[in-house]
Amino acid sequence: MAGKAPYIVPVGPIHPALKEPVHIELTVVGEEVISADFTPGQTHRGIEWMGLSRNPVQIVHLTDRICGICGVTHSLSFARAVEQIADITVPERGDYVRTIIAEFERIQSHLLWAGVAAHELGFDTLFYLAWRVREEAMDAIEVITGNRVNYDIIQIGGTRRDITEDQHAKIRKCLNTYKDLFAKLKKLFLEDAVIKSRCVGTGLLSFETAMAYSAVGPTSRASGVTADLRVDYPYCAYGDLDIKPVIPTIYGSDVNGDTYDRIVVRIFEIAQSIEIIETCLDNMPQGPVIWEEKVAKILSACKKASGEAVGRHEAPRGEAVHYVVMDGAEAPIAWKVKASSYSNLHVWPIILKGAQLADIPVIVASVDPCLSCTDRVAVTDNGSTKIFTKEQLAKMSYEKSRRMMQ
Amino acid sequence: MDEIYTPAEVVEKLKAALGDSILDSAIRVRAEGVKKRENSNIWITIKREAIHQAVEELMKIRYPHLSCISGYDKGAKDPNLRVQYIFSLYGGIEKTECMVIISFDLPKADPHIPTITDLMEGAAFTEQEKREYLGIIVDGLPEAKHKFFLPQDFPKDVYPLRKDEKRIPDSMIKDLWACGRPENRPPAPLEDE
Repeated sequence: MAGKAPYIVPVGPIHPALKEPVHIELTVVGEEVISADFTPGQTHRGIEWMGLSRNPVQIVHLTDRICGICGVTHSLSFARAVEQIADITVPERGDYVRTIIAEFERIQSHLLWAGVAAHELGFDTLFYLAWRVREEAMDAIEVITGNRVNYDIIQIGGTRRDITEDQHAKIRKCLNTYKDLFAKLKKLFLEDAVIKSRCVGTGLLSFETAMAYSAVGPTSRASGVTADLRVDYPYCAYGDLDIKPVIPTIYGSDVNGDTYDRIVVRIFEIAQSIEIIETCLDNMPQGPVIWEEKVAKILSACKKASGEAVGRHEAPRGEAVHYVVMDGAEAPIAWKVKASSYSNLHVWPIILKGAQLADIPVIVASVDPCLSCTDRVAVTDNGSTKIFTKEQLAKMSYEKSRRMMQ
Repeated sequence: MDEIYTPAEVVEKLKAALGDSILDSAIRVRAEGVKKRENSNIWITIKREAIHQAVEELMKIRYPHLSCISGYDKGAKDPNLRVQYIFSLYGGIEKTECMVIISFDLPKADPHIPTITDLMEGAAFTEQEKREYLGIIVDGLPEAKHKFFLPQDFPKDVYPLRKDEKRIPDSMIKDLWACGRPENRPPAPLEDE
């Protein structure tokens, strides 16, 4: 056996609930990963290309469909870019509605991630609990937008729906549920001996590497980078709030930049989001939520506009950037989408190096690419690659059990 | 701790260092919310030769965050691509972050840019994207083992975001409308004229 090492273990393409499934190839000696390579772009859909033949209002609805989890992220970033080009001022109330829905998105995204992380660790009761309580946020999102996913609430110039007084009761009920649950979540995720022993010290990302690779969001904050657009670069209603970036020291621990720190940051960001929503609900200014209700008027304003702009938003996974160029035509002449995971995926080869095979799933998941299911595993042996489907692997496993029983 | 410069001072510093290479600069301020706190974006157009030096100068001010390198084709008949290096400075400092977007025209006939991975390791990923989407040649960036953004069997010398002869040919675009209406369905409510 020794002569054949190192082995190459390709994993995937994996289905993250992001832009694309990912294929990861690991070179292993024994149980230790010595190098890792990854191939995203398994489902290139050409969304940016599609956008170049659509008008901004159509693109807003297209952006909602870039990601199933970040339904607001992309539409908000895109709308902010177009508003800057066309010099459209969003009404203050619109800014607040945008902030509230963006924070609900963060709560549901972080809970979804927490569930996935628990599942990757083999802690399925916690997975069910996290996804069960995530439903509260999904219900609140449904109350506000009418949809559980693909919210379609952002429009150029504001939002398509207002948050009315009679919705407040339901939203506050949801927030109170989370407040009561927070201590429990904190205890289950952060005090559990098994989670601690498996996550502390694994998937290390140093502060320097996080900076050099321009990592974003909780992934970088877990490494001690204090960057958070909501704090540093005030937009929407975030400039009115008194918030601080969440880094692992909030839990009283040192900054290690490991998987455990990423859990700490996300769990505490849920608490921060609850506070932000409450503050926004209390201080919502009166007035319209959109600059202009008639879509035709929005379109004609966009059609006259020319110039370039960048729209940014701190998504649950970190900074999202949309760069848009318009030149007085119906469709933009350029549209670049920089999703948050774009800045985080390329740290995989670094954080996987030296990891144990069994820790791969949770390390891969720790940057939050939503690792939902491993499609197939291929084993490379002396140049010939055998690809096994999940079913085949399961069958092999059952057969082995039968053999052992005889 | 480094001194924190205002956006105008950042522009001045870059102008002093780069001189004639800066063709144009602008600071755009946006204010949202009730308190109308401002955030600034600095837009700088430079000569293409100066990009590596420009990034170096920016890094002297403070270690920047590179969101991505973006680019677009200015048109089928236009001889140039346009490339933007989207940075932000002072990330991590409350209410001070500003974006610095460095742009330049890149002739399609000679689409070479120098790599900045010697300054920022992590730029390799986004430089690779420019190779695959726009056919920009990144000097000094090692050839990747495989494609990162497009399917592995994507044809050579076709670049999805180009608008000229290297664009996606019509044959690669699936014409859903051409499939026609399924035959085993009830007739459409309105007759075709």
